[in-house]
Amino acid sequence: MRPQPIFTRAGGARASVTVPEEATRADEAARLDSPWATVVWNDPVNLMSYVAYVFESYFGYPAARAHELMLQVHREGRAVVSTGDRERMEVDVQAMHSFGLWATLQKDGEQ
Amino acid sequence: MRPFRAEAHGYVAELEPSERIVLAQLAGDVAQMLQEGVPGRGPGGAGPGAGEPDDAWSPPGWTGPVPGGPGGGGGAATPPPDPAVRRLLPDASDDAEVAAEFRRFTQDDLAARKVGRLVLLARSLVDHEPAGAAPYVVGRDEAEDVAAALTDVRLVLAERLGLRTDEQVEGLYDELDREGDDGPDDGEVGGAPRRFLVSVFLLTGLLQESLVDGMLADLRAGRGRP
Repeated sequence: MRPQPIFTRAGGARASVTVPEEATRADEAARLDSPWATVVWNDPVNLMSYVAYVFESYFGYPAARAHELMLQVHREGRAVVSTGDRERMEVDVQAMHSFGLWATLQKDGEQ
Repeated sequence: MRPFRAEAHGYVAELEPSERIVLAQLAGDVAQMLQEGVPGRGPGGAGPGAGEPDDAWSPPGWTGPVPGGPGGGGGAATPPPDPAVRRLLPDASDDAEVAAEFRRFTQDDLAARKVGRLVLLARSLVDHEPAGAAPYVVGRDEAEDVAAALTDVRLVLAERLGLRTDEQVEGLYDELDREGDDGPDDGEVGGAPRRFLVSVFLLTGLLQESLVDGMLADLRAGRGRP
């Protein structure tokens, strides 16, 4: 059985259908190409407890993981808080901005 | 002011009438800034780069698009000229094109959502116009909106006060204690107006911290999520 692409697009190839070899390669290229990240940046205003709340409530991270990410933002200046395809990351970045955190989209692999 | 405590019917603080009026006024001002300061949404949307060079806060290590630099290419995608408004609607990428595209698709919605929450906060503060110190109740279903609105108010105050570092924020209580000190002489708000804004910043910080402590405790206990 052929490996299924992680991100299927509407109207794209289905696993049960035999797909041309090129299409598969294109899908795999798209998959390797697609992971993006949401980066949250430190700021002097947002409370540590609020940042932890946002990470726990919005992303559903366990308290310990949310705390760890919050400290990483605080101490290192930023942290990757989620990864996925670009559309999903745009949703996350917009949510962070709504909460008042400064977040950016970043192509995974960029520094 | 007494900070928030979690109670059966919500999170309850106690505020003096003067505190309610100041906070409501401020929330209304920030809402108005968002309504008028987002290009394409109202008057004053002159676009960035039209005025003086600004030194808006950005995160340490940030090398994002320069205000007034390329990446506009459409009214709705233009960053707000006021640094305080821009802090509420920040660049979503250090890549100017990605940032501009993101603005094009999200900026109006985001601004409208923030305005809605700020108006909710302002109204809830002055709803019954209590004559004396009285409980201020935030229901669990509206707590996240109130906390986020308080954040936006604090972000704008911090921008106006020129707060750039953790140390500056931590030094605010000392600053208030120093009689006659007008704060950093760097062209930001100074003197009595500064002391007033500092005390409001600290007040909103205490309110937000106590509110969020209650929200976090409820979240971890599995309560309070809509």
